[in-house]
Amino acid sequence: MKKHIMHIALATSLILGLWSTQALAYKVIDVSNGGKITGVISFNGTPPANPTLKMTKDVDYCGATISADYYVVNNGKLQNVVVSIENIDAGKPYDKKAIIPFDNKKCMFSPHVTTAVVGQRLGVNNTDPILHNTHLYHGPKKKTMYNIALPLKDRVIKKRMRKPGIVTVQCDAHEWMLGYVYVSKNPYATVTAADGTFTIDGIPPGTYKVKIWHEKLGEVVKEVTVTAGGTTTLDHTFSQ
Amino acid sequence: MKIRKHVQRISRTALTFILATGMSGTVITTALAAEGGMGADAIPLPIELSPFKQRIPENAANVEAGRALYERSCIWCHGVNGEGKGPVAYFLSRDTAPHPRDFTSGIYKFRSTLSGEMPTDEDLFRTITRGIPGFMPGFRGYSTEDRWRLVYYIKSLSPDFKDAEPELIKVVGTPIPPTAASVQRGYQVYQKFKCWECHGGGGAGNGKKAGTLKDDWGFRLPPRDLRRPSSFKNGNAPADLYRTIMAGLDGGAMPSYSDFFEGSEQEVWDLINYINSLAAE
Repeated sequence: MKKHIMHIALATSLILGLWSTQALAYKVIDVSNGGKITGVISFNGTPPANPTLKMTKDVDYCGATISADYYVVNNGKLQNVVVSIENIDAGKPYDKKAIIPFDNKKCMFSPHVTTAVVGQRLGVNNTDPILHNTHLYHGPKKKTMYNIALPLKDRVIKKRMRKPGIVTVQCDAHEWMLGYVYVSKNPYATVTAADGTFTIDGIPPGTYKVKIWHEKLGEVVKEVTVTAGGTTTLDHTFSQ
Repeated sequence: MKIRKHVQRISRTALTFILATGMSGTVITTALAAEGGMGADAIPLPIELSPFKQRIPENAANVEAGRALYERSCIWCHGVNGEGKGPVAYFLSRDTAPHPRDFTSGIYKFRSTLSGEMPTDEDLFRTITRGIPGFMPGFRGYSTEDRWRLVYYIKSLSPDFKDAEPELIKVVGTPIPPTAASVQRGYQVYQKFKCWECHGGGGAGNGKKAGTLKDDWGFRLPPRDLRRPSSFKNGNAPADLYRTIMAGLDGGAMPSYSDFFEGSEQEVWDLINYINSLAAE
């Protein structure tokens, strides 16, 4: 059943992905009296246990086991959930030259989930003294975007995110490593913090479709109306 | 300006040449001469022998002719729809990589382009011509024109080729003589860039990360045993190795090292000399 939901989620994101390539490119406009969406993403009940990942190599450095970070729940609040406004073609400015940090740290990806705007670059670093390779796959069909070697410590490799959608990040050298980059068409995407909260600001007044996505729990789309200078609350509770 | 463009065109031709053929610096110089880039006294290469000079137009008729050739020779492994699921595919490899290429996926190992980019037409032509040791036969038996027709048909199987303008890997320098000093430098590069973590200290493909490597389709894919150059799927000439190291093998675990060699590309030629020094066959 869960797999079924995942398939639907994947199919939806594929359709959204296809649709997006035909949509107009994002246009920066003056948003002087923008509104805000803020909220908390929660998990109802006991979250599924994160599997214990057994290190098959570099045990001396990585340790024997690491707990997976698929479900990060603190007092019922869910971290690492992507919240993004899907249908804004024009809005606030953003730093096109920003480098989105993405680290190979202690044999895991840090952060586990992040967002980037199409055209921005991911700054992949390796703070471990061992060989990592960062293998990015685009979309539900997991087409290789880049597979880069990171043999040396602390040398940031910048790679442009050219297409919108979910990017899955893996390391062939350490098969347990897993991360995600949500590449959005506009700068209105974020990831929930440790307390499950998020804020998206500078939104031109209007009614929008907001996507809430979690790697294991799938996605929901909610309609939200933003008023000039106002704050709209958007909470969501996932359950198993 | 016009001259600059001309020079750019020539260097691009030379680049394509070195990447595609794996030829040495001398040959490239000759190829350059034949392109009109050198003095009149340079020895001209019978350039009409170069398959890239016998290129035919990429049009519907040639794609269609390519299909007929494909259906005669390629369909057995690569399948009716190009998905790599032909009737013979199963016998080639069941649980281990590589399976016959899925031409609809748009993912190619053997490229002279950066990781994530589509291959060039010349890359496809080279693979069709040479084949892949141990897996795919070479099709030199087909005329140059027919091999181009196959290239065009294969390209028609993936929408990713449409409007693709792949970025080439940067080629700096040419193969250097495998002196003891160069091999020694190459050994240092092998250590520093941690090639040994997958390929092993002695190049036997038994590094500490070797055991779990898989390709994009989840099939087991052990790192190459560098002591067996004849088994290198992407070729074993220095220019072939340069391509493999810098472009990586997309779809497999071998990553691209082009970012890390940026500015020190000369070291790649040393590394290649070291890899060749491991040969035991």
